Amino acid sequence: MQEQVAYLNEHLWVGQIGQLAMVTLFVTTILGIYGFFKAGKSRLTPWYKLGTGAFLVHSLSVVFVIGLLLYSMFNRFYEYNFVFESVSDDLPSTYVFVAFWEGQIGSFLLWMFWSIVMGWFLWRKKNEWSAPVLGFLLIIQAFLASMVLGIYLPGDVAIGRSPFTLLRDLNDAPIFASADYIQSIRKMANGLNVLLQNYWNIIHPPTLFLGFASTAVPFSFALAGLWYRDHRSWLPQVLPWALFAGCVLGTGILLGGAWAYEALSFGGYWAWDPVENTSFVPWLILVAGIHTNLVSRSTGYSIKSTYGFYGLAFLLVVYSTFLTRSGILADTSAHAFTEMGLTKQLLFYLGSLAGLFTILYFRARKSIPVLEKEEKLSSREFWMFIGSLVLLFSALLITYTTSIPVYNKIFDLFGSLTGKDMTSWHRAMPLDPIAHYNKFQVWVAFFIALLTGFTEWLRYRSLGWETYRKDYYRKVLFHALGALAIALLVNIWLDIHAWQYQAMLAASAFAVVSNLDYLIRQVRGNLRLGASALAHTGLGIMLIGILASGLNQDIISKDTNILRNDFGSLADESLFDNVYLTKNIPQKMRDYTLLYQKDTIVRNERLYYIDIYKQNPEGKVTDKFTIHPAVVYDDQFSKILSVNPSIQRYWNRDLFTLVAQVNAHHSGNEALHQLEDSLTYTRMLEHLQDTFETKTLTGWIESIAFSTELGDYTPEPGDLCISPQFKLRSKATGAMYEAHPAIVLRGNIVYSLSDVINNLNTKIRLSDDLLDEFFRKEASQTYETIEFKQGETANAQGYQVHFAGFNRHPQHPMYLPDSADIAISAILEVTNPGGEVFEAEPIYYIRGNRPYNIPAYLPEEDLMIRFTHVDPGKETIELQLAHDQVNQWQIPFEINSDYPRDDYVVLQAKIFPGINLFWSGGLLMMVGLGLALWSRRKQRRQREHA
Amino acid sequence: MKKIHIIIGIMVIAGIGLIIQASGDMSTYGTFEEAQLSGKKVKIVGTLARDKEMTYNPEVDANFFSFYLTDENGKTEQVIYHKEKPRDFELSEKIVLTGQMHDGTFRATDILLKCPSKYKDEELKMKS
Repeated sequence: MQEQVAYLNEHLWVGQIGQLAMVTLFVTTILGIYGFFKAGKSRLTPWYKLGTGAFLVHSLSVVFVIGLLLYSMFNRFYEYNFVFESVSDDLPSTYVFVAFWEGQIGSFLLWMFWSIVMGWFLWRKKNEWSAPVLGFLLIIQAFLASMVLGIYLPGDVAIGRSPFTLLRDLNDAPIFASADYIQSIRKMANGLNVLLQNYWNIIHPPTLFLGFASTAVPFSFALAGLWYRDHRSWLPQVLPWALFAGCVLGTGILLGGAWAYEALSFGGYWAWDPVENTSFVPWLILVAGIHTNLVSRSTGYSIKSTYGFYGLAFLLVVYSTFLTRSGILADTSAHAFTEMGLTKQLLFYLGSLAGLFTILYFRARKSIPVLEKEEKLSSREFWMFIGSLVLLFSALLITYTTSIPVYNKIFDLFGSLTGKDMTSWHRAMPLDPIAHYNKFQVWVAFFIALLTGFTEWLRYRSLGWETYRKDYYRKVLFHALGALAIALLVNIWLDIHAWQYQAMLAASAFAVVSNLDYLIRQVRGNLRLGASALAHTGLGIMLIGILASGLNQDIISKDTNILRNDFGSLADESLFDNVYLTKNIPQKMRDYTLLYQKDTIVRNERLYYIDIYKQNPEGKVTDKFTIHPAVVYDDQFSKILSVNPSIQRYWNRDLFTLVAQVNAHHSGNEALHQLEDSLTYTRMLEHLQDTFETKTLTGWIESIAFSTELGDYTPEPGDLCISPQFKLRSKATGAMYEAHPAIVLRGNIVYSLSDVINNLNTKIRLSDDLLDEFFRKEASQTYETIEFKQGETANAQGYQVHFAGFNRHPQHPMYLPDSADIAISAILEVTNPGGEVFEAEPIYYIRGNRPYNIPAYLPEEDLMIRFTHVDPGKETIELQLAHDQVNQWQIPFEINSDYPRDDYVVLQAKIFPGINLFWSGGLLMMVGLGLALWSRRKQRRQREHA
Repeated sequence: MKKIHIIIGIMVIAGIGLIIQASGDMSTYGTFEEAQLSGKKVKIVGTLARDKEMTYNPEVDANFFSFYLTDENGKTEQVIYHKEKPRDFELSEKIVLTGQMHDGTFRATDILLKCPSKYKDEELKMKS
């Protein structure tokens, strides 16, 4: 038993009132449900007031809990597990919100928040459906609330996971014996994964969760309709909500696609990933529901299917929640949550709602009006219904494959009940999921496109068909011919060979032509009447965009030298994608030339600047631009977390580039340390001009410099720098290279600056003993001092030194000027005994009351000249001269000739043709849905006014 | 019989047909031995044989990565993947390969890694 510790700096009041608010939040849903059901369709009872009051308190509690959590996050109350796991001290405040809804608990709260927002809009309607719909909405809300409740029942049953759980209650670690443990865990706070710190994460989750939450409204309407066996009057009421849900959920899915395309490395906007599928499927069903809803409102047909679709849409949202949050998809999806102990509760949630819907449906089934008379083939409603069935069909096929992990779990459950090993029953996802889904969905797209094309021009109940028929067929023929012509033209560009896709292209073109014609000729641009035609035009455009960008993705970085490929008939499209770029060496890639120019670090990313020139066959540059794909490191630069593509956009295509691999030196510090540990260096000790060799080169040290210009080094006053100048000859090519490793003594710290010669795969670094050698020689040095004025000449060490003048702006690699410096150099002409004249310019400077000097060294003469003093009174300067005898130095260094290059990057480049058709088509579809919503509101307002 | 019933009937039949076909796409996890015997494309789950050589040398060939994988039956084979080495490859707990045997080596067309979770709520899994 742990002793009671009086902890410091905890904010326990947050958890206490938070938990209180949490319980209030849950209890008020129950009260609200009770009140609203008692009230029923009458708003004049006190029960309605109770429901409203409970809903109000509930809403305030949700907002309060969210506010309290955000407050704790902003103030970094790390004693709470939720805060500890989601933020850290260095997280920018913009991303605190992202950190809030990124985890399971936060996203449930976000969902609940959107539910109450919609609840109040429903409440404001103040009609007979308000109370029943709110009642059912609160049932859903109660389930959501139970996920974050965090109440423990006897028998170790936990209901939900509370965000107000203390870290020390969840973990039993020695650190909690310390009263001030919060100080020690600050640094350990997880924070938000840098991959999630981007603007997509600010807009995508709220949109998607608003979409999820809004599908609950048609669901609640359907339940309310069934409950009261009032099957008609809810139909017009629910439509705007369904349109809203379709628009928002669709936008959320598109945003997800845009995020995947722009920021993640999946290399596309859609990968048929289970997580993507499970949000797409409810949308399909919802859209099917919108269509049958329209039919039922106008004709009285399809009421049963409208119930079914709205019911199924939300149940599939819950199924999706179950799949993504139970950890069941961990094996098959790239972005599902992990299990967090809510699986059973989620399953109960799904089962209860499905059960509720089924019971209410069968209870009311007999009373649902069904028209005996069959829809006519020439009626709009017949084909709209068929279209909805096709959507359902598509949704079922997608769900069938996405649910594979569920079947495996069921087999396991069966196995554990019967005591058999069922692992042989397990199934894996298709080998090529994209091909698998596309194979079926191409026909769904085909039929949907075709149906939207010819159904738009049909009329409800075949009104006036006898007189309209001829005109109708003429129009369809005209559209078909137009579509065929367009499809042929588009196919010149796309060059599709598979007949299935050709069919889909033709159907999509048909949808575009027909709906566009409807917009122009039928409603004459009146968008209020043309919302559906607009949405369907968008659909057609989007489908063409999918064909263009999906089928015709052209990997231009592919290794074209496929002959050396021993794969033979096994050659797979997905392989050989990489092009290797060496810094400053142009690399051809199809009709592009790539030049890897430089790379720079920006925040926690390394950006590679690569110039791309496009040439026409005559060699003329027709296009030139720079891309900058990046790799993303963690905050310590210890490893690479992810890559960021760079996209060059054109109106008709995108050029998408991605770093596939970086060199070992750019792979983060962990990899770099590993690399260094794995390398063995040969130690050498050489005099100047002695030759030495490794397996790849012959080399010698030409001379010694006392300065360096190596990359990372910034000189500081007082630095001592020694840099032997190596000459290296490649054994393979005979080419000559230079290397200038250096060793710097700053204060009492030694820096060894190694030099890498990529073309020789060689790294040279100096041993610290070089300094010993220098100081040993320096100690035995005899300096000769001279003191003279400007214009005078003096003799020392057998040299004649002429003091020509001062330079008040001295320049030297070892000297970084500072505005407060007093710095001068002496311009000297030095004549050796043989009469040869050399120039030397030693520097003397004062920084912060301390004198420094940077000597001049004449390598040919091995003469060191120091500028040691200035006497302003006598107007003289003092110089010290000595022979350093570097010829006698023994220079210790280490060399490795297996060193990986540090000047390359491996790149992938892809062209997505027509991708803007996809985005603009998708956008148009959402605008169409939004427009339908807007025009319906307007119609209703007008009707109410009239 | 109503037209709609006929159409629904056709769709149900087509649906069953497609689902049967879809089930054919679903694979079982195979082993090297099965891959060797059938010569067909399979999915293999295994672990990286850490004591064996792993080669990826982009300076020589940016599209050649080779390593050894031990399948669930304990058989170890060389795997060749004509693409870059996936990031965090060494950290993988489990590797799922898609590909087939050819000339005594397994030619992978796709590699999926399962890595120990680094993030709180997320299982990190990367598609290479």
